[in-house]
Amino acid sequence: MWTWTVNLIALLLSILWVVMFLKQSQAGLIRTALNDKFTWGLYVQAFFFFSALAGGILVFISIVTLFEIDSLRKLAEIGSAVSLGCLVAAGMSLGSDLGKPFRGFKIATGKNFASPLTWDFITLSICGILNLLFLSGIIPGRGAGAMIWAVLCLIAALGFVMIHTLFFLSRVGAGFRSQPFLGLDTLAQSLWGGTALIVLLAVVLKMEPFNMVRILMILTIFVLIPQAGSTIATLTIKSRGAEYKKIIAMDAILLLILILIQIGGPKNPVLLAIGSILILIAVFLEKSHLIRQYQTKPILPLPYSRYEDIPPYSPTSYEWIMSLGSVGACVLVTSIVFYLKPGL
Amino acid sequence: MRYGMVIDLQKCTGCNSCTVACRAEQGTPAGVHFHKVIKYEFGKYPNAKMKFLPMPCMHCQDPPCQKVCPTGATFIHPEGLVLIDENKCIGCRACMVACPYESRQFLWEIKTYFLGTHPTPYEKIKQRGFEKGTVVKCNFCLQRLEQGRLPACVTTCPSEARTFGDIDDPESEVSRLIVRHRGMPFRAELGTEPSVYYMKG
Repeated sequence: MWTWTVNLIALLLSILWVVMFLKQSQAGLIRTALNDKFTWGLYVQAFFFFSALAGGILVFISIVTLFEIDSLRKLAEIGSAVSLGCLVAAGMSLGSDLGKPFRGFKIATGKNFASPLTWDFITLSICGILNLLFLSGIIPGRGAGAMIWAVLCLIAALGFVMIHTLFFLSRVGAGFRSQPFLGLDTLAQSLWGGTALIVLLAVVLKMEPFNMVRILMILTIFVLIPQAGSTIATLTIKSRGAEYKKIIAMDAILLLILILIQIGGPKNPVLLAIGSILILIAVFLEKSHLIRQYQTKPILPLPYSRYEDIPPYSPTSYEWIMSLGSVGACVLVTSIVFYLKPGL
Repeated sequence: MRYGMVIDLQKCTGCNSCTVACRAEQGTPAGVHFHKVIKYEFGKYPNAKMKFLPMPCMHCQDPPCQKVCPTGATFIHPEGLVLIDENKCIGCRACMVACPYESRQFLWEIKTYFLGTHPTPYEKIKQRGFEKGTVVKCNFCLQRLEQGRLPACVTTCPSEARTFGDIDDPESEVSRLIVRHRGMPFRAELGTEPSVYYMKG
């Protein structure tokens, strides 16, 4: 019963996304709260979030295939369905953010290989194709074919996760402080979120309980260390220090929660689900912070930016509804794959 | 051949006539200005001064905006101008994030100057070239250059603070001014190799 309810809500959200997308296409991005100073908002945050999750899951599937871990093969197949959903949602989020979404295909014909967005498009497309191949059952469980698939998948997934650290490089060049551990942080967040989503799936599908809390704890530490490193690297900047402290506090609390779950009931589905959902929220907030930190300050240095005022960004209802719509589409695509592949 | 501009900051009075001339020439929608004049304070009381920095697009020779454009909509003209092919622009705004000079603007909507009224005949004609959902910027008045005329901001400057020409030609007036007055681009340390130089700043 609950499956149908969730699917129905997902379908409604997806339909709502289509309606809002068409409306926004007519009216333009004026429907959003974005402006010339704050150019990338909730849509890009959602794009980074979904693609990070898809990347994390694909890395998990690649490792399961590379090491021929048969006990996790089933979970990998389910993960593949969810990762396809996440890729679709990422594409929808990016499509929502384009001023001319129906020209999006021009990324493929632009052939500007210096552009991070071009590589994002290429690697995400490769991941989508590899994902479909995996789901179609063409890829064997072991052997040379499986190895080649896993290596390609690993390269493409890690590729687009790391490309997301390049988008603000020019701002760093323009005088913004770089986040010295951004690459490691982005990678760790992706693995953290992807694993949390897989744990959540395992709980929802009542699969054989396995102790993933320890892995989540290790990944939380992987996320915490670059954050702590960045705080140390920016000790001389008051505002930056404060921003990182909030994130470090959030991650530390999550680590504490995971430790408590490990002590209290590592196989308790409710605790596992709560832990996973909290991690997913944390990953979204960290992606959101990454995008905000480069846009909340003037680009031109002082004294030229003394009279410059960056209006505060607060997403409009359009942005919230369309972002929720992409969540709905993610669930819907996953459900469709489950429906088409009864074995899952 | 590489078009470039030299701006004499001692002559600039911050009158903004360049901004107005640019708007009139390009016919930009309300709220969109290809050219801006930044004002800032210099020195401390009692010797504080208000200074001005006119900023067109820098038409960099190593432009970050062109590198990040996934569709190739931003390109470098053979004569050194950084231009946008609006038919290729998908409105991803990666170029705006990349530009260290804030030279680009996104057309969130096409606004007219008189709120609540229909576009004037002038606006109807001039705003034909603007497409909502794309990024726009200064093009050094390419349409005027093709007719052998100087950019509107250069012609209109009442204090003659601007000089325009071929900075690849060592005999040109711009090249001579750059050498004589040690002209420097704004934020030269970024390595974007701008074609706009400032002197006596």
